[in-house]
Amino acid sequence: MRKRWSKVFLAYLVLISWAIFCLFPFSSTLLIALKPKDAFMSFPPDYFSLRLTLENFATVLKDPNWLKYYGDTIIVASFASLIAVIIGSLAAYSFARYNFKFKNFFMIFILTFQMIPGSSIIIPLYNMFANFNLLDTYIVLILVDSVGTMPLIIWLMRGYFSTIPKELEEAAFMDGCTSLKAFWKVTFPLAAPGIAASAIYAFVRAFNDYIIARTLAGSRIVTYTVGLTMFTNQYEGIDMTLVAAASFTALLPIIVMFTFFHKYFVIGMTGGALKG
Amino acid sequence: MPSRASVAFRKERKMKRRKYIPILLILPAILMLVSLTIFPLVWAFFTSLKKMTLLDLMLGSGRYTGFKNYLEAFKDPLFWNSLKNSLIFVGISVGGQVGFGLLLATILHSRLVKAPGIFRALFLVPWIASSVVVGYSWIYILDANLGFLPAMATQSPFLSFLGLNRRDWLTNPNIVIYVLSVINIWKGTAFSMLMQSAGLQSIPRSLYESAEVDGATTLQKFVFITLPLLTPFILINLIMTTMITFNVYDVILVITGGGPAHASEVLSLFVYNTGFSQGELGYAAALSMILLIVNLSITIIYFMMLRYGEMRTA
Repeated sequence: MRKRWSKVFLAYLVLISWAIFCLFPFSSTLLIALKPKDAFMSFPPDYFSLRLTLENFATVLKDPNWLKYYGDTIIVASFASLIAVIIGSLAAYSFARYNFKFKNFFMIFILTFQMIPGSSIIIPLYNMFANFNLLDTYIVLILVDSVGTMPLIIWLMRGYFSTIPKELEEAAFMDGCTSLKAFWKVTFPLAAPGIAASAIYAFVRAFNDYIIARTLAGSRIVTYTVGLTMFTNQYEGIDMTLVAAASFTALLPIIVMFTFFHKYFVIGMTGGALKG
Repeated sequence: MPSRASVAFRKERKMKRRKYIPILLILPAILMLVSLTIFPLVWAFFTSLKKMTLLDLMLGSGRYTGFKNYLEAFKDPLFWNSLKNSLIFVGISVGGQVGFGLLLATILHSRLVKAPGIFRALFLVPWIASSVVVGYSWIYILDANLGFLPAMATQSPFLSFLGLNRRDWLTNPNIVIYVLSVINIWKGTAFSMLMQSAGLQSIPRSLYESAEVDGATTLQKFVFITLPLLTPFILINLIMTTMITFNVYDVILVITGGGPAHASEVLSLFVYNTGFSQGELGYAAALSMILLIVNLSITIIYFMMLRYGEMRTA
């Protein structure tokens, strides 16, 4: 195959430009995070001198509030992911393995939940939980976050379970396993890639969620996304350097996870439409 | 050693119990989905028939006024304003995301570059970052007083030459919705790129090879092989992105909150603001219902297109 250098050049030009465009906002956030506070006191702000400091990062990482926000986020995201994966897998397994009455109806029923956008149920959810006095609790955030990812996980996992031969389970069955035990010992480990993708998808969705955490919690339980907006209220924009440092510490775990689990990320976030 | 008869008996009992297992397995998921989606929707429908504020919610008051909230929405200029903003925001975002997604996917698929995986991973970063981090990152670039771009423009005559030397990116009501659309293209293109990549991978390489033997140019190959075979994927991508974008408001909420003077308030954000800034829960519930109907209509179009796509690929 002939490759003309002009074509190759053009291809690289487009890709490199887009890569710069993608990373530009994050790099300027990092730059601000590394600046001393007084750099932004007047216009134009001092972006171009080499006065850099790690003080903002030190302040943020020592801030007990920020660490609490972070802890809350991890608690909510972990449990939401756990619940979504366990309950989602059980349903997916049932759809993949058994034939029962109204099976197709239930499958379509679950798919329709995927089509109901969060924006049209957030107000009702608020009304409902306010009525039950459940606002601002871990359990509400965990349940609402896990329900948001469940339909997609059910469809993703159903695909995975269907690819695992039924004979393997039947063999375990013959050896006297109950069906639950056969599921845990045989099928679950074999479906590991799908489970990893589902768990990462559910975790990231809950970790990054802003609207649910802001609306249904926000004073006792504060996730990091809501916490970030509180930094600004607290310091009235003067300490934007601190917010930048905090944003960056919040972005980092996602980037690290993404680097290691890139493949599962893509499978999960696109609902298994693409296999990484 | 159990006797044969008892084994047979156990087996039979097992079979009987197994009849209920599939239902038991889906039950928790169905219960959660119904109680946290269907139930609130029904609740919202009844709230939408009431005149009810945040205060009423706390006092447990609020009275039924029938479909007055719905009528009010159609007379509300802010409702029409948000619908107009949504159309601009969705139109530009979807066009940009699907277009750039196609461009990037085609280049990454073309074997012209080394290490396409690294580029692909970099392109995914805006997509996986949370909306709040994204919002702040863009505020740091565009803000009139601390923004990187306005600061750059004071130093560089080149930016002034391009007309980028303004400071009102986020405060000028005439341009703010376009600025936010560009930010949304920046964030969402990765998803389209992934969808189109899947489409491109489904096209057999042999088609291109035989076209090359016949002396086809790159453009000809793209127009006569890639585009027709990719059409179902592009259609699905278009509709899915439309559905997603219609409900994007977290980034806007962080960056402008819908302002200045409702200039960047899209429909989903209007619903949210009506509920939580104005505290008009009854009215907001009615708006939620309208939003749901809009979304379901897009879904129906989606399924029709999916059918069409299947017919084409079949």
